[in-house]
Amino acid sequence: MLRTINLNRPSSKNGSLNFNEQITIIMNFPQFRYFSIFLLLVVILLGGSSCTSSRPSHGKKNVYEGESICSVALLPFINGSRFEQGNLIMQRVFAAELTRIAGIEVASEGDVQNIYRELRIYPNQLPSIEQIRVLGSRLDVQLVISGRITEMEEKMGDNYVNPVLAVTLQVYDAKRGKTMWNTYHRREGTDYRKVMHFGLVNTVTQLSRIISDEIIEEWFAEGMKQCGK
Amino acid sequence: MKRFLIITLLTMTTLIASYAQAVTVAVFPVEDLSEGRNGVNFTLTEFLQQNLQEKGIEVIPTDKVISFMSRNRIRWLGFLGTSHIYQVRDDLGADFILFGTVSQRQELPLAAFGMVLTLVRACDARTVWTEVGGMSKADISNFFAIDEPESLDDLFPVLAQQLLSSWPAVLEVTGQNPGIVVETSRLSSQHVKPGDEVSCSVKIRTPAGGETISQVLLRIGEDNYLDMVEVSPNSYAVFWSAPDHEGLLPVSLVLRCQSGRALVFFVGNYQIDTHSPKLNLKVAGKNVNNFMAFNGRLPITPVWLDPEPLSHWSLFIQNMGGQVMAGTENKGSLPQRFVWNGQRPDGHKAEDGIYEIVLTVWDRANNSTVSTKKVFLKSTPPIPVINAAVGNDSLIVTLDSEDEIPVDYWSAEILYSDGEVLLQSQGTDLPVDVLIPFPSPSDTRQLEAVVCMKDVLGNKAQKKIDNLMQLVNVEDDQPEPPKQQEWVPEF
Repeated sequence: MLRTINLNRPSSKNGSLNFNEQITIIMNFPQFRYFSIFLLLVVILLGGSSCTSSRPSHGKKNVYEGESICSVALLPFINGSRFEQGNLIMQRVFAAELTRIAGIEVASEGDVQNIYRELRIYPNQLPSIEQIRVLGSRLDVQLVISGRITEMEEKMGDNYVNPVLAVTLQVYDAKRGKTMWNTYHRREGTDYRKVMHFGLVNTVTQLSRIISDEIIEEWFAEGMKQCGK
Repeated sequence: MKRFLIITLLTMTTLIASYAQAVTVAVFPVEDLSEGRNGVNFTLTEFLQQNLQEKGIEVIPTDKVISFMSRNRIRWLGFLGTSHIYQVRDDLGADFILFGTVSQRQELPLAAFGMVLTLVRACDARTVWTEVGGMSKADISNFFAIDEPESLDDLFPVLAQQLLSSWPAVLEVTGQNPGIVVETSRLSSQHVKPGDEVSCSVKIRTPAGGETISQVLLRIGEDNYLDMVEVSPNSYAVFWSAPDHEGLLPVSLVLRCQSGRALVFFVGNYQIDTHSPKLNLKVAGKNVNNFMAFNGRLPITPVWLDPEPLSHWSLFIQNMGGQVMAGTENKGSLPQRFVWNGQRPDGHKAEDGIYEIVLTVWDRANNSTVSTKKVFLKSTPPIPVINAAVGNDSLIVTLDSEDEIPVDYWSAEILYSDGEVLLQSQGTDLPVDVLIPFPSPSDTRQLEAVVCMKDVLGNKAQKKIDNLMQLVNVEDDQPEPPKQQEWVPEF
């Protein structure tokens, strides 16, 4: 197939080929055709992968002046979505990922629940500054993290399921009980599509894991020091 | 020689590997969130147990684990508190505990399965391995759909195997020294008056192999230390009197160990409150003779001078004899507004008169304040007084009210008996004279009067006089009282 590109350049007066003519001749070479197809594929792939560059939004309130973070406590996550047990799914996954990829020791969920009962804090209630200090001291942690699932669902696509997850995390300094920073992150399974159905994330569990990793990476990028470093 | 070396090396490697995995694991029943908060998946629990046994790991039987759970009243799956983790080590002899949570397990719209596995070392309650995974039927697409999963049953072994593939090659049974656990701490009460008794009780667990406590102290404020008394094994308590000065005092538990180390746990703050709550009462009535008067519905608004949280409050409305007409009390903060509808407890209207509103509030330290306000209830209509007199060229009708409550509005209509209106008048002040021109002498129709009044509280009255001229001649028409003709004995 012969393609011409009109760039509205005037022909040279000395009888040599003008720009349009040069382009036409070049495109007649079969090697260039293969190269252009390859180039097109590269552009599609890059375009597809560029969808995954969305970063968690991060709001800092205080600067953490402590040492590297080695221990945290997760408060019971609050479910603001209609997905049953969505808060527990995200909480368990986030706790596992904190330990797995960041090497952070997460205080036992049972210990957090015991203190919640003792301080008479309802599961859907956020503790006061004093209560966070008690939690932090008793569990011997540096940070206390609360979470709220604002959106979790599985949308039915064309022969695939598109999970959607949005989460807000609030991080408190366990010693002072004050908010250090908060993070909002939203992702859909289709955000990770490479080509056709390749790369799609099909389960909320897998999406929770990826979101958790992205948030933790973002925290480190924002200056949170990794344990032992 | 070379063969001997290889065999020796292989034997040593196998021995090291088998020693590395010579651990005991308690696999707790897998929590299944797809079945709700209390869901349990025994199929997956057995699958995990078998898989670990195949790795040469000793697994504690399920019935022993369940028996442990019932003994220790463990109601939730997927995690344990630190004390229970130490208990698992002591009671079941487990080196590690494997917790599993099925995050999702569904056939529709597409078969999907998700899982979280966590391995906790029992000696120091630390997480040593964890893995998360989710898999859908759409994730596995093979050439010509060969060996693709058909349902959920095909998915979960694939995912579980995938997760367990990263199981640590070597599991270190010994970790850090187990830490001292403060199982419970209670500070009571957190809001006190000067001199009130404050108490703190704690329950501590010192795991085997951990540090030994030599002294249990309570630090109040910056540098005031109290020795805590062991009231029962591992339970300590102390009582003290709150100081006289107002302020917030932090309370921390200090555990001095035999090693010389001191562990500090923040227990909470307690507030010494020397001031009573400050508030007034505002009622929405009409100010009549320095009393707030109302005619049946009285909005009462507490107005804070210095707002503070309350523990409880009560509001009563009583008459001057001390009889309670209405009342309510509750815990927590005050409502923004109360409304008394002027009724007695039996639902009937309360009589006109003076009533007292008594609002008592107690703050969290039990300091109380009483606010009172007297109000005047007047729900009966005004009583119109109508007099008539003959003037020079007109009839003078004098209107007045018997009540002390001022009139907001009055109107008078003078009309003939056949309905023809002779005069209409209205105003806001009483008493007032209304002048009516004399009708012509030939007119034989009677004069009627309709008088309406509304007082400032909204009570309305209407009075009709059928024959106005009767009021003029009232003295003439009245029969003279009969004269006493004889003496009557008085009893």
